[in-house]
Amino acid sequence: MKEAYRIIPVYAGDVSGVASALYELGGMVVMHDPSGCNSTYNTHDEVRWYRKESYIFISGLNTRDAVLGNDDKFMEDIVAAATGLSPAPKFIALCNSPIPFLNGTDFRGIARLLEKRLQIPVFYVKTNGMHDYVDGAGRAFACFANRMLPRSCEKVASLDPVRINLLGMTPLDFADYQNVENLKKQLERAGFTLVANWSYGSSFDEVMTSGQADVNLVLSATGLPLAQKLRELYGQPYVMGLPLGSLAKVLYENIKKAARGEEYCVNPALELLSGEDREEGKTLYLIGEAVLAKSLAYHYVKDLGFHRAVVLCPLEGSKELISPEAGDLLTEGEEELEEFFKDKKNVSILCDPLYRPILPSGAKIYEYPSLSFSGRIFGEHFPVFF
Amino acid sequence: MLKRIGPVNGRDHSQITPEGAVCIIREADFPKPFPWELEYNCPVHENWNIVHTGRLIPECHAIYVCNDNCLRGVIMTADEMKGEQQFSAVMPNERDSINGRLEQVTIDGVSRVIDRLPYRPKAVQVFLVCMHHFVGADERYIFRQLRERYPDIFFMQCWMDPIMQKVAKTPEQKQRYQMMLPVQPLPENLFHVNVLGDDLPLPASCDIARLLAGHQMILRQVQDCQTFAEYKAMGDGWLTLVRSPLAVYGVSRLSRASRRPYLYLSVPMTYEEIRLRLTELMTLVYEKEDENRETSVAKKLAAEEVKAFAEREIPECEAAFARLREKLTGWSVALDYLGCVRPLSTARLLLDHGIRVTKVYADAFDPIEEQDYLWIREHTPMLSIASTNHPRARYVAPVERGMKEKVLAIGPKAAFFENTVHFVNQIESAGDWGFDGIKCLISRIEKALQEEKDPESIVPLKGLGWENCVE
Repeated sequence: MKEAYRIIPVYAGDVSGVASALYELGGMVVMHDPSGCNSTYNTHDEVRWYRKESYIFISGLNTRDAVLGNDDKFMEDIVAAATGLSPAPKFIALCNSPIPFLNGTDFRGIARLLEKRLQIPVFYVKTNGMHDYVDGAGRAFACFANRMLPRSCEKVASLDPVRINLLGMTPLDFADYQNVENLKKQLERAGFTLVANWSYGSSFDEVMTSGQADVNLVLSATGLPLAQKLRELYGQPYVMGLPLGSLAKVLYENIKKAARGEEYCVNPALELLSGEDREEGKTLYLIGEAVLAKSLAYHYVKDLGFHRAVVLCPLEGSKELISPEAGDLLTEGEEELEEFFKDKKNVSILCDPLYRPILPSGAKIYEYPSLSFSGRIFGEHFPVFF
Repeated sequence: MLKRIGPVNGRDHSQITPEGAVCIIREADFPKPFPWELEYNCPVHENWNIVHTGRLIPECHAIYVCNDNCLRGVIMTADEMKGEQQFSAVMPNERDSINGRLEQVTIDGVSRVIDRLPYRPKAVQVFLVCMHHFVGADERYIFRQLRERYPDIFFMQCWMDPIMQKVAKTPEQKQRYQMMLPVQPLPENLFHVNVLGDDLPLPASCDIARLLAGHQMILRQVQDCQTFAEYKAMGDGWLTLVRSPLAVYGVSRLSRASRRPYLYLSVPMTYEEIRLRLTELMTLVYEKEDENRETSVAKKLAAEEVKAFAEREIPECEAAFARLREKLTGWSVALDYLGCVRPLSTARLLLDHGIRVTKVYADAFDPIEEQDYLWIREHTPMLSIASTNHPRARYVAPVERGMKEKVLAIGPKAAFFENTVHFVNQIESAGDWGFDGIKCLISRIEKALQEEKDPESIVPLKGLGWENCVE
């Protein structure tokens, strides 16, 4: 039964994804929720909350207002908060937990009314607390780009160096900030110029210049809807994957090809590992976010001696990011994963440590804790990929 | 814990005024000094939540039936306290929630979890959520089905429905009542007095325990029970004591049903109120010891015993205060509602003894504190009351401005907002009570003055007192 979870946790939810994505972009995020969403988010799904402030609030919805449809209170409270903060938020993003979804709250209408009163952009990120962070963060990035970025951008024609944006970089997938610093240096050494980082160690001003980039590098599934939006807005191509080991060179070549308008491979790790579903040989199973897991799969097969790598992805919006030909699988719920590994002996599995209770006892586990799954429990051991 | 979080924003918040987030007590409404608005959530999580409280019952499993966002918080709470073996979940999806299948998914999901557990729990707390209210799920049907399927298991009908908490019973109140239901009346034991509904145990050194011991009576608390059977055996207590306002609802219902008395002993900090509460307790004791004894006689006996007790205790408290006053010269004190069950009573006690309390962090007060509120209004009208969840609360004294010197905080929220390394790290008055509690508090303040602690590595951790595996 996919709904039953005996022992493993669930991934961070969509509302946490929204807040994480927009955290540093200068706006205000309001979760329409009775209680708990913000606490869960800032305790377990966020590493910045103590030292780096952000305008993130919950509405404290109560049953009377929910049943009677008293949206006025919600709006008045937002107006009061937004006008009392200095500097004023550059935008307001609304998102919500299940009850406003069940009672059909008209968030788009509320956003229009608020925008009229406050004279700052207000948009709704469609959530309902029933989806995972990939869905929430992906929507938040795309909504922000759709509402806030200039429609066109004049940029210098030169492709030397190639200018890139990093998409899908949030602590939920890359909790240790060293990832950001190292990746920036690595890309500079490889001859690229970084335009905007979406959005860890970033800012409103930085992401607003995204149109200057030639190519977008998508680092996690949370960045894919944004990549599609930027292609629509500015015609920017995108390449997916993490520049790890020998995959780095492949990615760089494809980024340059994309910048020059030549034929290129969008997701090299996916395409180059496709068709490698051999039944024999040393196999690594990877559980987790699809872009990251597929990049690690490539790295372990091409650089670290594995013959085969299979990605098991329990997250939404990932169907196009895995390869059934390579044996990859979208999974749902704890039991499906437990069943998958039931008869597998002496397997190697790369995953968050909290998957351990449902994996075979003899399995060799490569522990890659992720903020999106085990939260802050393994805070000292978040992986540094670059 | 990881602390490198990238460059800190360069935003200048110096223009944000504390208006709305802080007020002076002279102008503060009681019991709710701040209106309900958008809420900020500060990174202080040492309080217990329903997961921690639920874990007090031995041989009990918890199953939460809710969606991703809500579920995540409670699952991670359980995992951080290494409680994953006693915690499971059912996560209905969008379709389940809107197509009328929620009851069946709840029943089947809970059943599936129980069937797959490596052990058989004696009791299960099943938590339904806001969503169950809004789709009109039939709670009685759900639990009837579960009890039919698992007649050997004691099911507790709990709720994680914060949408009700501002206008009806809170999830904590309902959970604590359900947790009391296994304690059904057994033949009375005149030497057993129960403490129910509190997170932290009353220490053996507390006034209540010592006075009862003088009458050969012992306190029995859930924290001492090793098995579910031991917990049920508490049903032989003739009197139930409760300190937490969240448990009064449950204890009063239990008392009505069992026809046995209960006493709400909120945690008073002033000498006069402590004496008053102890006298109430001892009156019941004297009445119970001789059921033919008239109440007025019992009251007189109780008052005499408590007076003698207080005459021994108060000089010790006063001596401790004299020491403390000297050590706190030049210091100001801030305290919060997490650290102190009765923040206003605590502030009053300290102010009355010459300690410079400047700020109380609380978003609302227990009405039982009204006399303390009035006393402080009269004697220290400029005392600040600060909200912890107002949208501007974070910006009144942002941590970016650095550590404060010569500020002592009592409670983790005061420690965070005051950004001080000198703080008493306690929640719920550390479980202490009465004159003993005053002496313990003074001792902790003295210790906090001597040692420095890093609030950032302490106050974000959940459930003070439980094991915590956050690295």
